[in-house]
Amino acid sequence: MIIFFIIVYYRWLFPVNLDFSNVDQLCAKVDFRSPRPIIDLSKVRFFRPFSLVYLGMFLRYHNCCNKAFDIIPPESNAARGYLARQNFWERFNFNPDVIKGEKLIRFTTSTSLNDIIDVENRPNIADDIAVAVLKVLRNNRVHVKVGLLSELVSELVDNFALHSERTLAVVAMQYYPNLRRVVLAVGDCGIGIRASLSTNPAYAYLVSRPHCEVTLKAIEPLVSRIPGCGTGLTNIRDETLNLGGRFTLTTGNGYVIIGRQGTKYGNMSYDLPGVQAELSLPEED
Amino acid sequence: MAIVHIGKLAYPCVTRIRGEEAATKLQGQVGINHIEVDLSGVDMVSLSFLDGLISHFLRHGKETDFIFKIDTPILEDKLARVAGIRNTTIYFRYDEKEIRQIKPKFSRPQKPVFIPTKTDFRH
Repeated sequence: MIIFFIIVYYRWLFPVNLDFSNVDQLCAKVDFRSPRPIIDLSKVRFFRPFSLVYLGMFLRYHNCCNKAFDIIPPESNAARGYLARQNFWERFNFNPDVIKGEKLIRFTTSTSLNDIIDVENRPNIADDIAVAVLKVLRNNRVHVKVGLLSELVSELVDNFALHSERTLAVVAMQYYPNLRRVVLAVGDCGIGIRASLSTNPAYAYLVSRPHCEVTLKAIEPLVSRIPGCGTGLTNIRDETLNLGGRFTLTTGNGYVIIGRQGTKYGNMSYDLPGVQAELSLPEED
Repeated sequence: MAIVHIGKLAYPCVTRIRGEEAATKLQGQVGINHIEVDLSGVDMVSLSFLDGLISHFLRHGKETDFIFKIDTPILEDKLARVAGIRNTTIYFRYDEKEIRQIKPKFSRPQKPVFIPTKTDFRH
């Protein structure tokens, strides 16, 4: 028991990896009473795609509310270099509703493995992302069911396009050859699942329910803001389980994780608008 | 029987809206004969696409006018899941094989477990 608490304390004091388990706590610690709140990333050595997307959406959301931050960058050269290669600070340090098109296009033109891209809400964006992801996975000979993974990513992007009521989302794709795993994260800082779903009169009662419960409901078949729709998240859940992967979905202060260890849900430490999701799939033998 | 390859109606076949658009294009040909929708040899045919296609047929009472030609068990599984979700009858065949009715597949969600605190949650 003592060792357990030492490990917990050590990880809290010296976080090494920023991922689903702790990125919300990092955001919750930010002191908004300060005119320029500080985000301390000094101890971060490794960023999982979900944490990049979550932190990016945190910055973008508050930037839209005219809030600027002072950021203490990672001490680790590798982590600092990684963020620089992804144009992380520049990428999330603007309001997508007012940015000029020519500046935005710098971030939306390339899709590659181990990269972040911004995704504009425009017609057929989910189709375009599916084709781009398929091409990248094939070119890099990643041994996953590439068609299926591309399909699942397009489901997430389509959800953003149909329900977020925002201009931009972000997609991060990372391949870990040693772990033989592909991880994809998609996020936006839109209206979120609860606000979207409760506009359907059949689900108006959900407006006062916790985000995590609403998210579980949204994963059920034929549950959608749009009557007659609602197979996307169900499909992601079923295929993730078939492929032995893991699906993480957060919205507001709620989360749901679906994987081999079962379905878990609960509350995040921070209430971030929008929807953030991560798909983690193993390579096939 | 008319045969239509899905690639002539939509590409890529991933979103619900594309499925509905493909169904609208097909609908004009329904009534004279049954139509075989050939799904074989396509990179991606998503469940949402198939659901958009089939639910459009359902709304117009035309679901039994179509037969799906497939080439992989993955497509059969997707059709089975759509049949389960929509509680409908779908006919299909593999190349050169007899026409069969799909056996609906129903998803069995896991019982969710509430985790009260996410502190140091490792997954």
